[in-house]
Amino acid sequence: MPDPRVRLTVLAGFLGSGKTTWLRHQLRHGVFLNARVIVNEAAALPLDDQLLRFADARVIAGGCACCDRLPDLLAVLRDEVDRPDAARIVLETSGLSDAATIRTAILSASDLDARLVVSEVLVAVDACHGLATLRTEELARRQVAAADALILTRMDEADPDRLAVLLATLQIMAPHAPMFGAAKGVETPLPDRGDALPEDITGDPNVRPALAVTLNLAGVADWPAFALWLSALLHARGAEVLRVKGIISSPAGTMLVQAGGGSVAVPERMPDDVEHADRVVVIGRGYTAAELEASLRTFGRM
Amino acid sequence: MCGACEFRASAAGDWTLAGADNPTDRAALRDRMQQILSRVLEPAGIAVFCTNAEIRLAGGPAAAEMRLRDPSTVWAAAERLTGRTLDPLDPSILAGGAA
Repeated sequence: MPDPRVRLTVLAGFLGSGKTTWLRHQLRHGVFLNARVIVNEAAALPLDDQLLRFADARVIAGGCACCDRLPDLLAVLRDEVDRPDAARIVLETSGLSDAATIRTAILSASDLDARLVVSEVLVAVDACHGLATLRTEELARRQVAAADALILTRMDEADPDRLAVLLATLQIMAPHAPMFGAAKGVETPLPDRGDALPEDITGDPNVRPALAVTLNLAGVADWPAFALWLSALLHARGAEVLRVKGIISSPAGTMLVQAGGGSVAVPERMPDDVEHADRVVVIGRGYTAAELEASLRTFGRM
Repeated sequence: MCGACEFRASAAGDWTLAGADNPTDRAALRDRMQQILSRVLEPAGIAVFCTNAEIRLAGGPAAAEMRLRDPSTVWAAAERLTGRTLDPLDPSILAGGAA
């Protein structure tokens, strides 16, 4: 007899690991057919839901679903499993969430455990920057360890030698988890690892927590000022700025700007009616919100 | 990403130039960038000249010159010319431009 419980897919992965891009492609292609979508964002201002508007995603913003927003997640899940057509839910966690904690919390919620099952924890790992992230971020290592399967994203941009080392390292860190490749959401075969050896990843468990800052650009900085400010910030503080995501007005239209690993992706044009324009979220450490705001404001005034 | 994802990439090239997609806007963008870069870099001893084709930086202890196509690379070039990182979160770096 099939399990009558609603199946929950948890899609986790560190900041900028490509979760939303991957999920958008899967949803567009019916992989999670009729699934309800929940998006969790660490920043108070949600932006990922703008990329998943077609999926009518519910948003839990302003904290991680594994800790400060866990009560909200459980409330949303209770609401979802009560729907008469409830069958499947996909939860995209924030890049700072611990999927293992979410799984444990659901198992511990006696009213949910009877109606909902975590069917899989998928963890996205950036094929380009994943190794560097694993070296420095304890949370990223915990995410990998919690994975039922690993999705290697940005396969089309990865350096083959470093990718081989990453694959060998992930095999050691999560030997139970099958790995799949993806390029802009499209499944891509993984290369042969050859004789690449895994890295001994131990990292610093005492790294400071990341800070999510939302900056309002309206009346503060135009496109040239923002672009030069962000490129300066990434040049000087690339190791500390873990993730940047913003929707910025420009003469060429409204642009989605995303950065991670010290580099900026090709900006994507957003629909004219997109919400939250002229807001940018910067997640990282080593600075204060006031320093970021003052710096951007100064660029804007120049 | 596929067509179904409705990904609409901006024009190829340096990401900082994605905000202008016609000659008039590109010229305005370059003028504005020249204004900002001059205010940040001139107090650091770097002269800036922007055209539609390139950015030229000149100065530093060695009185060297660098020609760049991509505005996002200007900070690495300025670091090579001045011998120091121009951190936008360092108030002293921005003091000249904010004045």
